[in-house]
Amino acid sequence: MKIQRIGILLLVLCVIGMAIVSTTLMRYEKRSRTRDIVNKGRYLVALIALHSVKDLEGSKRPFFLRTLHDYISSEGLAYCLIHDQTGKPFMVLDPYKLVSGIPPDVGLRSLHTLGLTEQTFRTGNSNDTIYEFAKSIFENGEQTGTVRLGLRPPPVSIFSMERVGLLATIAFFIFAMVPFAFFGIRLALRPFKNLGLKIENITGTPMPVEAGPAKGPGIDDLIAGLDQSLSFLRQRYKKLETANIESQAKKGVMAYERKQIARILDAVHYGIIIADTQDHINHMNAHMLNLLNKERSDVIDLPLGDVLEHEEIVSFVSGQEGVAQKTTQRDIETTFPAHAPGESFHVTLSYLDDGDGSITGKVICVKNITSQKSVDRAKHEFVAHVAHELRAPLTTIKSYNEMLMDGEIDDFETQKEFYNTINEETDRLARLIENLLNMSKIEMGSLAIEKELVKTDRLVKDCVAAIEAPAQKKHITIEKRLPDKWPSLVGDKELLKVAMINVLGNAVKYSPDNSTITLSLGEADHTTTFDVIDQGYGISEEDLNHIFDQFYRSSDPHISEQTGSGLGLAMTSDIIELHGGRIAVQSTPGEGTHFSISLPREDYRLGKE
Amino acid sequence: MGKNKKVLVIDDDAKITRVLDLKLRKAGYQVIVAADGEAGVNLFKAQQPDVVITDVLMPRKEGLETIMELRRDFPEVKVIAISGGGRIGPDECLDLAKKFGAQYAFTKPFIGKEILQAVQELLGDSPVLKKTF
Repeated sequence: MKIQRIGILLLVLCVIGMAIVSTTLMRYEKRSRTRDIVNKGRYLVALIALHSVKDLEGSKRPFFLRTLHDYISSEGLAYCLIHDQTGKPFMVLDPYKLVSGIPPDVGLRSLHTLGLTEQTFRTGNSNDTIYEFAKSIFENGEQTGTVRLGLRPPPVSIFSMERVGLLATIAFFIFAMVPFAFFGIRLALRPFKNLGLKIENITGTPMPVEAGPAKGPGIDDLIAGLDQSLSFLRQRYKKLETANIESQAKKGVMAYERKQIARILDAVHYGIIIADTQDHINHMNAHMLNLLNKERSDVIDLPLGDVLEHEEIVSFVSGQEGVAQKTTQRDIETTFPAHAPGESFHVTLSYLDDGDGSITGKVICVKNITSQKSVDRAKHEFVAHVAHELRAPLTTIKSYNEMLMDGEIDDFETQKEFYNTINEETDRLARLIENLLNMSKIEMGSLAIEKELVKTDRLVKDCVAAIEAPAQKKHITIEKRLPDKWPSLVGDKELLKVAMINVLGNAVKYSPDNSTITLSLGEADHTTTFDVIDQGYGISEEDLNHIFDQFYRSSDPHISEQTGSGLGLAMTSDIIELHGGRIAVQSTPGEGTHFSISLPREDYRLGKE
Repeated sequence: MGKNKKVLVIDDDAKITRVLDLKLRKAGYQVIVAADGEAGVNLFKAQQPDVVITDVLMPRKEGLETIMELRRDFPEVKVIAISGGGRIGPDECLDLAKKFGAQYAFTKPFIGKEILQAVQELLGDSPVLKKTF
């Protein structure tokens, strides 16, 4: 409600109050005057009636007239009429000419009335109210006349001088009440105002007030505003409800995405720690928790140092250098001897930013590089071994050739021996290189197998021919146990030949002089089998576990003193597997070794040549 | 030159011992050959050769171990190491050989003449080698 409206209301109330007070005073005054007139009239008419008619007509007549004139001028006497029993007046005082206007019934009633008579009537001319008092005059017990006095009350005025003080006091109190009432109303309306403000706060819009230049806020405005605000509130509630549903949906999506991210992080095969800029852990994935043997609830929000207990990593992560360089990624190699003894870890530190370049957190990745280091070491050893294997024949070729070129070998037999050695070492180099290439192709999956129908008789013949010379040199007998019908075989003839020659060649190389090597070919369970059994030095149980590993060389002197690259059996195993077959080995040290190759059988058969 | 001076060649590769044997004999040295470190040490103790040429990577007893043992028992022994490398590469092998007491070290494939010159230098039969290792 506007202040102006309160002021106007208070003024109206003041005027009404003043009017009520004035009216009340007027009525009181009027009653007081009337009572005064009645008393005066009674007294005066009784006083006159005490006198005889003679006195009134005789010597006392001037006195009465003068006295009555004084009453007319100051006490409201309107007229005085004294008449005899017949109604003949003998004294008339009528300055306002009212006697003639007295209604006839009034006069008659007065005449026939004994004693004091009072009556009121209105004169026809002035419409004033006349109070008439009549009393009979008695002389010697006989009525001789009647006195009639008409009195007219003076006009009533509340603003008479004697009441000014009272009126001023009343007016003062009334007006003095205005500010109290004003502030009282304001105080009373304050809850409404506060309600309006609260509604404005809730709705976010000003309280709607009916338009109009002279109209301030009122209860109606407040109710209308409240109603409109409630309407706003309902709309706002609906919006909020909709927003809440959307918010719940978004919250659900965010929770799902958060879980999904956590699952993705858990699926990663290295440890991940996400920390804030104060190095308190925000998240740790499953791999890292497993490494530290901790539960997620045991690490969240804890300082990194308390959880990891790893000074090297903690100082690495908390280093300010990286923070200064912001997105710099750094890494160290370290170990977790308490949790994973003997294993190596690569720790990488990256920084999270908010898109504006301010760092918001850190990501620490912990990757187990033990196997990678092992692979790297194996690669290094592989290269070193290959280099060693290449240097051996090269050294022979170079040194033998040097002596031949310098003419230091003058006898023909030695020259021939040197040329043969150079030739053998050259072949050895070529085989080594060929084996390396094949191994590389097999490992890369790029070795093309040219499958064709392989004549097993020709295969066996070629393989035996390849080892005949060294076998003869050691007086080794090759015993062949071949079927009447040659089994068919589909495969890469050249690769199968390499595989067979490797097995047969090993048998010759690692068998003593004058021993026997048995080669069997047969069919069983839909497979074609090649068996090579020697009477050699045999293979220890430990060596058997590594016999098909690349570059594996036994420390057994019978084996290590023979030249070899450690690639032959590894490659043979790969070739057989490429053909869908399998290779098995049984050996007893000091007695001999049995290699068995099984290849899927084909239906096609060739007749024995 | 070199008469009555004896050289011990230790290598598991018979072709290498064969060519060094011929080369050194042509130069007038007596040559004794061993196929591994253990046999080489035994042969050294038995015949007290003037110079030892040994491969570094061998079965039974590594060349480095052989050199150490010879230096321990015979501090004045003169050793020439040759190596085709192994797990740690030929240069590293030969560095180690030098630290263990070999006077000369050569990488395979070596040049026969350089081996001979090294032997001659160690035995005081020729001027100082221009090229060593």
